[in-house]
Amino acid sequence: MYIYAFSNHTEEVTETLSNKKMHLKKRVNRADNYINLTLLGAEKCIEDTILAPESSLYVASNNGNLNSSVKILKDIFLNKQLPMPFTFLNGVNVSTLFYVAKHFNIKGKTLFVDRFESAIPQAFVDVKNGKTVLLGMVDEATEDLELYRDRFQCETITESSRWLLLLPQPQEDTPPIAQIIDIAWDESSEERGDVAKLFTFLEEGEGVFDFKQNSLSFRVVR
Amino acid sequence: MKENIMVYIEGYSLISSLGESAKDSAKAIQNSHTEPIILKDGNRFYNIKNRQEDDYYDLIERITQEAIESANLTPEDLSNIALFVGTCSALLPINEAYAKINGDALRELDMSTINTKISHRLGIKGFSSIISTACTSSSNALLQAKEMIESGLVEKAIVVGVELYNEVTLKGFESFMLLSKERMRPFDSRRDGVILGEALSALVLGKTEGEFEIVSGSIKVDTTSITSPTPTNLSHVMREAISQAKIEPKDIVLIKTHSTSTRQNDDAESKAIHMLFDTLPPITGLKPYIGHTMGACGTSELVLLIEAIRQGFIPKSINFQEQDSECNIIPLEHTIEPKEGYYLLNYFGFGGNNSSLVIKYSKLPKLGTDGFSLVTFGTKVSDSKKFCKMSNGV
Repeated sequence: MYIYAFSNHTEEVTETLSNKKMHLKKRVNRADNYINLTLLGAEKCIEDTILAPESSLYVASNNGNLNSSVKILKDIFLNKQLPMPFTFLNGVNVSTLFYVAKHFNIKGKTLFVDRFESAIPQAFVDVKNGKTVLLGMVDEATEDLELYRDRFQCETITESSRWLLLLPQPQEDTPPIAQIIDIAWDESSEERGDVAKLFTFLEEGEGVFDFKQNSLSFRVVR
Repeated sequence: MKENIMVYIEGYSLISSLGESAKDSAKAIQNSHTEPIILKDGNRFYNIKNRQEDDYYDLIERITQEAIESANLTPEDLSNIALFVGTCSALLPINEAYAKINGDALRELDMSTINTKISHRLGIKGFSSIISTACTSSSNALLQAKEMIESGLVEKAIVVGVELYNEVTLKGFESFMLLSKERMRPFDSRRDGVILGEALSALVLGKTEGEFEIVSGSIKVDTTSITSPTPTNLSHVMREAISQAKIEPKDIVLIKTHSTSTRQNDDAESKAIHMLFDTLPPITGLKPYIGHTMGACGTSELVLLIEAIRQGFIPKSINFQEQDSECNIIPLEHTIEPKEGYYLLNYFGFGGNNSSLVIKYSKLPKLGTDGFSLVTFGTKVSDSKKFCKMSNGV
């Protein structure tokens, strides 16, 4: 499958989460930080491309929508009250898919999965079946940075929204950025390139990049 | 040209409010034994009996293991098999338990922990994925697993649906005023909402011919409204599932509706059905038996249906008394005998995430070239390295 566009949106968080909404071309009412972060990366990847309505959409995330989840849990267990209906909705992963699909007029399959390594083989199957795939890997930080540092045991906090636009065939008038080949499962413990390095390769690299994380391996050629 | 690979259900398992196995659950349905409990806050809920403290991963391990045994999978099978888990709430039950004690949230964060732990405990190796798309989580997982087998990437897949009690879902539904005060009544004029439930279920999919084939399916997003489905889009997803099966709506022998018993959902689903079918086939809804098991309803309602079929009946749709002129649907009021043919199963969710599946039931298994039955569920005869017992003919 061929990579026709990508974005590598990352933000280091030092004091507070940034206002992503103001950077969006199309703003969404009631969207929270996670949804806006998702849309920001997707907009940068898609730019002016018009997607086929039957395109598939995958959003992968290790931790999902943290901030809305924290708010809902606090409302229920600390404040002893019902969550606000739209906070509850934003906390359901499928809402993020809804807003991205609406944003880019996607009518096909939309799936929220647990990690990039889960999404790539499923995208490969769709691409093999002739579909265009928009695939994002999105993780946010919590507004409470101390909570984030404590739970993730990290000093540097980064939010990321990284995206790939995948097509089944090379286009006549536009060469692809790269090709993904040799998708396989490899249970050996050796880990090679990760998601961040893959996107750095797409930005700066030439030749071949070998990805190997959580048993999934594939090769990117450009 | 796409190769014509057929994907069958090779084994399954279920734990629901009705019982600790698929057999017990289907038997309870036949006897119409089903009542939700009333929680402290007054909400009703279909709970799994005899749950232990901190049993989240143990229950997922158990349901997966039971499906593995039902399909007679060998350690060799498990060394290259896809594992899909469909869940809406994912790690919420664990985080809630932590929030109750510690006042803050987020104990376990990475959803993939579920698959990692279960794979490790059961010796499963290969591709794995969590799919979290609200009410369609495990039905979407089924279709993804089927496509992955068809693509040749994997030989078999285990699809697990997981939804265990959590207050976030319950309170979220309450905040939208979607919870029923009494009972779920699909398509009834007096329906007043949904009752949530917990369930775990698992299916093993593969290419070994059996009674139940997963023929086709469709997953589509409806971006009209994040909370309200539209009949046109629901009709479209059903139509695509049926056309991919290369059949006509008239070939459908039963529709298992999503029917959450909310005003809007049943209204939209019934209108969508009328748009597609000139003559309605029998229709049944299973949620009044086990509640709306959210991310697990895809696999749980499928297992419940096929186990009922194997026990010789199609469950009636309980609690229906007054026809709603807007829905104009009278679901099954009595159990009927299952017919061979194509079954349409609908799963429609929040966020416009909708899916439909077409399952084919073949009552009598075909004979293999060696004269042995190819029927599965613990009696695999086609595969000599795994079979338990033989049956010559049918």
